[in-house]
Formats: sequence, C-alpha cells, structure tokens
Amino acid sequence: MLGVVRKKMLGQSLLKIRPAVSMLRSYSSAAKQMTVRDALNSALDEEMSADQKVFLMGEEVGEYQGAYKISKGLLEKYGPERVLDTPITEAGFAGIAVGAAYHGLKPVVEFMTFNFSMQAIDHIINSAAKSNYMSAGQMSVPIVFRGPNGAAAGVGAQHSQCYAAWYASCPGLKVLTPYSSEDARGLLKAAIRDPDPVVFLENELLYGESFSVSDEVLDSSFCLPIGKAKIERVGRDVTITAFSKMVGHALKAAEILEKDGIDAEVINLRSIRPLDRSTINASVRKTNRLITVEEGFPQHGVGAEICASVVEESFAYLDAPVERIAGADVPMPYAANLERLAVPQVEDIVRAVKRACYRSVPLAAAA
Amino acid sequence: MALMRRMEIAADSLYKAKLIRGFCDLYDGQEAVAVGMEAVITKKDCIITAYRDHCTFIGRSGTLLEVFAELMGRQAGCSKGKGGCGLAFAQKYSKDETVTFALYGDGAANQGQLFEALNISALWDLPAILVCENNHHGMGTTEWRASKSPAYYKLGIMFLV
Repeated sequence: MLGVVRKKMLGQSLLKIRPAVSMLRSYSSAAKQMTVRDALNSALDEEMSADQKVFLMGEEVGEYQGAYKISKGLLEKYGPERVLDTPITEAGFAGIAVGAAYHGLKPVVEFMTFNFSMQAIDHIINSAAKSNYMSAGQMSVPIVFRGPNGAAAGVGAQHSQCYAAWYASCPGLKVLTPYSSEDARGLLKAAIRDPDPVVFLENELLYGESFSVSDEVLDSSFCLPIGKAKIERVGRDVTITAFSKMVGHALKAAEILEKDGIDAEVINLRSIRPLDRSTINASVRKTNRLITVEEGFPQHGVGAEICASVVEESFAYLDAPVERIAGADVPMPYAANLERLAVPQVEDIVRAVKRACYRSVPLAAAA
Repeated sequence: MALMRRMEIAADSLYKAKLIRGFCDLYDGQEAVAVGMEAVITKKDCIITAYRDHCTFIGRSGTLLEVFAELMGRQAGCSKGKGGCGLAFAQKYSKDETVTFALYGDGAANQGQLFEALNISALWDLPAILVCENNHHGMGTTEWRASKSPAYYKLGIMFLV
C-alpha cells in the first residue's frame, strides 16, 4: 500500500505553482514577501560576510551568478578567492572542499543537482561524514553540501531523484530540507555555522516561490535549530508529515479536507537527520492517524523510517495503519503526463487521509 | 627508519596472532619515502595519506603506543589522498606559506578522482605535492596488470604548460 493511486484527475490546475499560504505564527511587525532564492542568497551573503572562513565552490556559482541564480552578486562582492567556479568534476572539487574543511575552512559546496552528488558520494560519506567519529572527535568537518534535490519539470530520470533517504541513513551527516523562505534562511545559516557536515536539500521548483518573512527572519543573526520540525498547521484528526515541496501539497490537501470535516495537522519536517521523532510522535498520540508524504522512491524512504519510529514509540495510539505516500517506484519519466503521475499530487494525500479516517467514500449523503 | 621497520614487523606478528583485526597494511620497505619527506618539511606542512600510514604517523611525531593502541582497538580508516589538495587549498586561502603532501599508491594512481584533483590543483596553483608511493602492487594486483602505463610519475606532464 504505497499510497500512490494513479488516476487521471481533472483538477490539474492544482499543479500550477502558486505562492503558498503562509502558516507562520504572526509577529507583531509587518511581514514582507521573499522568494526562497533570495532567502538562500541573503543567508549565504550574511554568513560569508560574518566569517572569512566561509567560501562557496561549485559549477557556475561565480561568473554565471549561479546555475539557478542562488549565488547572484556574491562573486562581485567577495571576489574569486571566495566564490570559486569549478570544472565539471564533482569528485575532485568535493574532495578539495572536504580537505579544506579538515584544515579549518568552512566550504559551501554547490551541486547543480544532487544527482551529481553521486559522483562525489565517497567524499561526502567517507571523507566528510565519518571523519569526526573515526578521529575520536579530533577532526571536525564544517562543510555544507547544498543544491536542488528531487524532481523538477521535465528533466528526466537521471536528474530527478530525491536523495533525502540515502543521506539521512548515514551517521555523521545532518540532512536538512527547507520548504519556506524562513526555512531556507534559518536552516542554511544553521548549516553553515554547524561544525559537522550538512547535506542541504533544496528544491528547484521552490526557488521562485514567495513566502512572508517577519523582521525576525530578516535579521542577520536569525537561525533555526537543526533537528526540530515545525507544525505548519495544527489539527486534531490526522497527522501529515512532509518535507520540502510536499509541505505545500500537504497544506493544500488540509484545506480541501477541512471542507469534509477532517482537521489535519501538517508537520514540516525541516530536518531529516536528525529526525524530530518527539514532535512526530506527540502529534500522532494526539491525532491517532498518520500519513507520510515524500517525493522520493518509496522503498527505504523517509516515510518508512517515520512509520517505524511511530510503531516503536506510539503503536498503542494508532487507530489506523500508517500510510506512506511517495513517488512512483520507477525512474522518473520525461513525458509530462507520466511525470505528473510519478510524483505525489494533492489528491493522493486527500485520498490517503480519507482512507486513514475510514472515510474513503466522499460524504455526499451527509446533511 | 629502523624503528619504523621493527614496528611494522611487530605489527605483522600481532596481525597473524589475530590481535590486530580487520586489515593490516604494512609499510616495511617503503620507510625511505616517509623519512625523506619529513627531512625537508616542517611540522606546519601537512601530509595526508591513505591506510598504509603507520610509519607516516611516526614520522609526524606519533608514538608507537598510539599506533599500536589504534591498531589493536580499531583499525584506522583511510583518509583520502584527494583531501590533500583540499588542505593545500586551505593553506593558500589562509596564506600560510606551507605545503601539503598528498600521498597515494600505485593502486590508487589509476583513479579518475586523482586526475580531477591534479587538474584543479594545477589550475588554481595550489601548494600541493602529489606523491605516488609505488610499491608495484595495488592490494594484490601487480601494476602491469592494472595499468596500461605504469609510469605513474609521468601523470603530471600534461599539466605543465
């Protein structure tokens, strides 16, 4: 029961990217709008300004202003010694960055997508992640590997994989998955300041989305804690966990479900490793039902881990089986109609929640 | 060098007695490389090597006690020679005026990432000295069975402009 029911739906307009409804706690100050792209850019800028040891390395990060313009303006501001354009050799430059981190610098390595991180995965895992443990704490590796992760639009099988589950299984790494601009700013700053290797999984389709940000978020000292999930929407009837782009889908599903009298709690995981098991379990103990949502492949995915965690800690509180919604168990198709079917849609989440609430038939007859 | 030789022979005996577990990669016969290198550098220069590193560690003022404690408790893992160019990057970034020796063996000399590290080091003019410790065997395979051209010292020629 992988939760991805393939049916043709007419509501394809739901797939268009819209600015997400902001579910932030409102601060008394007026909120501004900021795209995720600008959030990442400003976070990089501020951290490079605050600490001379921070530098950025990757393909097209300098003169091209960033493959997705995330590093726009940074070369002009910090110069070629701190913003380095690399050859297309991920193993080479990731290895060099890890070596620099051994020596005390704080590299931010950009992968054009995380699919290319597979070229460098030996360095991420064996050179970076394990070094602190293997050296009995004598070596720390304060490096950040960042870039777009998961499906984009029409980029095909080799450019669409989600690596959250792969990296999150490795002790020694921290794995973060921002959704909103607040997440992007706060988590990237936390990642750069962290003394351990961090895999920072962005999403290309979120870069252009705007979110409200408060003055607190815009402050240069703003930082989010690593390992804490955020409850984006409080609810009573069912818990939906999601990360990255799927948080937006979960929130839309919650709006639809509200009309059917189902009050969903949506948790934005923010951190896949360490996973905020206490927030997830506390929520499930309240709602008694759980749906996990992710874009990546279902087998050995993030949802599988969350399900195991809940079974281990909160089994007696479950009123329905945990259901995981994930991408289809196929390499990502290129054809647009097939691609849509291979990635979770809002309707999939709605249907799964109704199954969990034992309401798989719509309440057409209800008064 | 004599101390290094005796240490490696002792380690071999311990390994055969199963007091050292896992793998035990010995450096006897290669001591001159580590000693020769140490003779011309300072302690501020960096060395990064792989798993055949007991003697290199001694050369850097490690003690026999540390080596044997490590081997008998937990096999030291491989640090990657490619990380050496990264140390050199950091030295240049911080304007240290030190260098890094990145050591690798003839077995690793066939790896693509070595070429990548060499390319970037030459391109960015990093203070890295890449040293191929050629003992003619990559694990168990002799070099002429592993490489079309075992003249590994020639690898750098294409980067001379």
